[in-house]
Amino acid sequence: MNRFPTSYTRMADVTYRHAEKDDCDEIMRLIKELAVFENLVHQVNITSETLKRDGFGEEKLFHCIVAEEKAKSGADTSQLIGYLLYFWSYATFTGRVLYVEDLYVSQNNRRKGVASALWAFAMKVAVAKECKRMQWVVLDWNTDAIRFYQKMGAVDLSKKEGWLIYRLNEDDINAALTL
Amino acid sequence: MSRVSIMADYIIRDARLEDCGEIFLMLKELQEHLKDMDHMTLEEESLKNDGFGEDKFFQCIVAEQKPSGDVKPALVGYLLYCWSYSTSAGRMMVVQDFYVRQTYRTQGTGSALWAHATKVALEKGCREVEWIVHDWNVQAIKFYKKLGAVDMSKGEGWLVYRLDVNAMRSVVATDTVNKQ
Repeated sequence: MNRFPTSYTRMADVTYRHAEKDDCDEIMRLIKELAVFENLVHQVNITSETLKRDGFGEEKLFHCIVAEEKAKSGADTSQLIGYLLYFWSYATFTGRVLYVEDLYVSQNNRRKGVASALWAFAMKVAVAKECKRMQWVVLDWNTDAIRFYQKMGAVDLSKKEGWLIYRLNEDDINAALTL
Repeated sequence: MSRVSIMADYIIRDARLEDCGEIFLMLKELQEHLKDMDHMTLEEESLKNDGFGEDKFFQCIVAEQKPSGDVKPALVGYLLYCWSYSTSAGRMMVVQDFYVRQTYRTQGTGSALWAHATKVALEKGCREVEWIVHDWNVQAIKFYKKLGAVDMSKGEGWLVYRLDVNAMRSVVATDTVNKQ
């Protein structure tokens, strides 16, 4: 049963497309806004240049979908109001996975269907690539996001299957190598 | 190019296309060990296409017995990982599968696989290696803590979410915005 929210007002002046290299400055701006929201600003260690190298070089480490609001008048330029950043991953019992790393819509453009449209775009990409799954993480206090995911039929695996996320940072990696 | 690390009675090396049969067998052993929580639908052909085709969805390293006489050395463990991306830290390594065959445990094989993987991660400029583990898998958790890894679920409150292919198709079918 589909419970994906489709009853929203479509924003007529917004287009959804694959990101281009020139979008990186704007994407970086939105990444910083998301970090502020998640209280993880101290963890942002990349720049627009990093994004250009990692997303638009020979080896593409990620892909990005953006929501662009057209310029309202001749004097304005269009700007990005949201993005969804993903990469290909693998679930060895099932197969290809589209992993969503970031989903963000700027503060004053919420509740207008932008996130739903970004997500639907990503899902089309996933289905075209024969992915068996989409996967992502969300912070447990982010009730708005959790509600959005539950509405579309996503399952909280931490609760259902008891998954914990483990991480080894650079210092620990170096230390582990000396074991 | 095949990177080789030598230790004890095993070598650690990059997996090759011809390893897929044995990796697939170990994958099924791991599925059993994890109590079949994920239903196995992957086929050996997909493993070959997805890891050794034009688009590589994963990378794999294996622990292989040192050759002895004419007997083809067996694989005794594997570590399968993906390159991922964090908008805070850049390139990351995500370990998807880590498995050592029953009779070869507590001999340093697991540590050797992890040491090889983390070396590759550092060489590629990764600042982090990440993975998930079942909260009941006490043995694995003890191993990870010994490596110095931190439980981020506890530390930062992350929950793992997933949308399966039926739900995805359902959403795409009813999407109106992207059909413009």
